[in-house]
Amino acid sequence: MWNRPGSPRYWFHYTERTRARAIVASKTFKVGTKHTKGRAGVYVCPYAPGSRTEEDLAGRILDGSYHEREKLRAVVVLASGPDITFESDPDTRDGMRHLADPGSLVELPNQIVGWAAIVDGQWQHSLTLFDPLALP
Amino acid sequence: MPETPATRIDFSGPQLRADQRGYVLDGEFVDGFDDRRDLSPLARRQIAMWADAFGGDVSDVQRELLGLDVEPDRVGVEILTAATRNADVDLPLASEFGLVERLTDEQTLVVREPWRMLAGGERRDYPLTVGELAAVTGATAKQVREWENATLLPGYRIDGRRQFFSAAVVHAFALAALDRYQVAALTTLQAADADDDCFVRLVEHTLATRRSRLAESRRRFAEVAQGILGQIRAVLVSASAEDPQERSATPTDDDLGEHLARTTLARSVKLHDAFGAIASDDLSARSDAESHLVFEREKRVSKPRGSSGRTKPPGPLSSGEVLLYDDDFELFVHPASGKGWKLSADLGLSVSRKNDAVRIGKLLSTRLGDGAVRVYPRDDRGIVKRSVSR
Repeated sequence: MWNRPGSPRYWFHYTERTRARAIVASKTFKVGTKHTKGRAGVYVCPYAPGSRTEEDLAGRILDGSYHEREKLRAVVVLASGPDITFESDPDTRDGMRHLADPGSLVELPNQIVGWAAIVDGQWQHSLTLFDPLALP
Repeated sequence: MPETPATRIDFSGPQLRADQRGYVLDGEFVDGFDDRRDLSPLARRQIAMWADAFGGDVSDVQRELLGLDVEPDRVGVEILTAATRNADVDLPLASEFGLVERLTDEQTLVVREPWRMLAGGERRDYPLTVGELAAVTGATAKQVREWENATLLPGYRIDGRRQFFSAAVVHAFALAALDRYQVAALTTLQAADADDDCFVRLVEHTLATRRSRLAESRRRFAEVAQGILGQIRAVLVSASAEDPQERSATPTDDDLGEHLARTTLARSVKLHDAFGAIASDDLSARSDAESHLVFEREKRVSKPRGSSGRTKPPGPLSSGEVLLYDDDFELFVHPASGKGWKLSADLGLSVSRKNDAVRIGKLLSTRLGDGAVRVYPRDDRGIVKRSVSR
C-alpha cells in the first residue's frame, strides 16, 4: 500500500499520541532533549502503522524498552523532501535520521503529510493519508 | 496508503495530502494549490508555500503572501514543547517509578483516551484544563490545583493557563489513592531544603532501610532458588549415572518433571535411611525393583560433601530430633513415630531463615506436643551443628 511506484517515499516517526498530534498541528518537529543514543534529531523508520506487532516494533526502534511503549501508539507520516533529508541510522537496522540540536524546532510543512493513532484499539488514519481516488 | 477509511482524525485548516498534489480542508479533498480568498492569511500562505514547493502555478497574490512576515503560532509551539516533554520525560519517569504499571485497565484507557470521561459532543483531547483533569480522575479541582502547586504532578502554562497531559493523569490517579497525610508528607518533601531538613533525612533513611531489607530478601530468595536448582541438578545427574540409557543423554526440561516425581518418593526413603528408622512396611507396597531403584539413588544423593556436595547426616537421630537441610531449604523431622516428614508440606511450617533452629524447634514442639524437639542446623560450610535448641 505504502511506497508504490510514482508516489513519494514515506517514512514513519512513532511517538506518543498527543505529541504526534501536536507535531502535525504545528507542522513542526520539536527535537527532544533526551535521546537514548545520545544523538538528538528526527528519527524515522520504514514500518507503516499496523505492519508489525508491538513487540517487534519495540525491539526494532525502542530497544525493547517497556517504559516507552506509549510511543508506539501513534505515528507521524513524513514524505521524502524537500524540507530535510534523512541519512541511515547506524544504530538501527532500517531506521533513518536527521540530526539536529537538542530542543530545536525543525519545520516540516512540506513533508508532514498525516498521522495515525491507535484509538478504540485500532489504527485510525488522518484523511490526508487516503487515496482520494479510492474513496467512495 | 490505507485503502479503507477509518474514523478520521483531522485538524482545521488545510493539511497536505500524502500524494503532495493537493490538500484536505474540512474533510474535502482539494486538487492543486490555488489561492483561496475565503481562508485566513496564514492558511493562504501555507497553500502558497505548497504551490511553490511542489511546482504548482504560484500566482502574484501568492507571491505577496510568501513575502509576508507571519507571526509564529506561539500557542502551537507551547503545546508542542509541552507534549514533547510529556512524552520524553514525564511519562517515562512515571513508568520508571511504577505509576503507569499500577494503573487499572480502566485507568489506562482514560489516560490514553480522556474524552471517554468528558461530557460534550466534541471529542476533547490533551491538553486538559484543571476541571477536565479533575473530571477524568475523580479528584476535585481544588486537589488538582494543590497538587500542581506542590509540583506533585506535571503541569504546563499554555496560553497563560494551567494545562495537563497524560503523565499528569497518571500522577493524579496515584495521588487520589493516597490519604491527606501522605499527600501532606509528599508536599513537605517537595518544599523542603534537601540538604538541611530533618524530615528529608529521615525519609531518606527510611527509604534506604527499606531498600536494604528488600535487597537482603532478594539475596536470600536467590540462594534458595540456587539451592533448589542444585538439588534438581544433582538428582538428574544421579539418575543419569544410574541408567545406562540416560547416561549418554543430557537431561532436558522434558525429563525434569518425571525425575522430580520419581525422586519425591526416594527422598522420603532417604530420610528413614539417614535416621536409621526405616519402617519395613513403608516399602512393602512397592515392587522389589522400585525399592531397589529408590535405595540405589538415595545412596548416591547422600554421599558426603566433596563428592556430591552434601554433608553426611550426623548418624541415627533419637526420637524427636530434627535435621535441618539448609541447602535443600527443607526440614525433615523424626518424631516418636519414627517417620520422616517434610516439614513445610506435612507440618505446614515454612523455613524462611537458615539456621533458625530455636524458632523451628519451638514451633515443632508446639505442633508435635512433646516439648522436646531438637534441631540440628548446618552452618555456612555445610557442617551439621549438634547444638540443642528447645
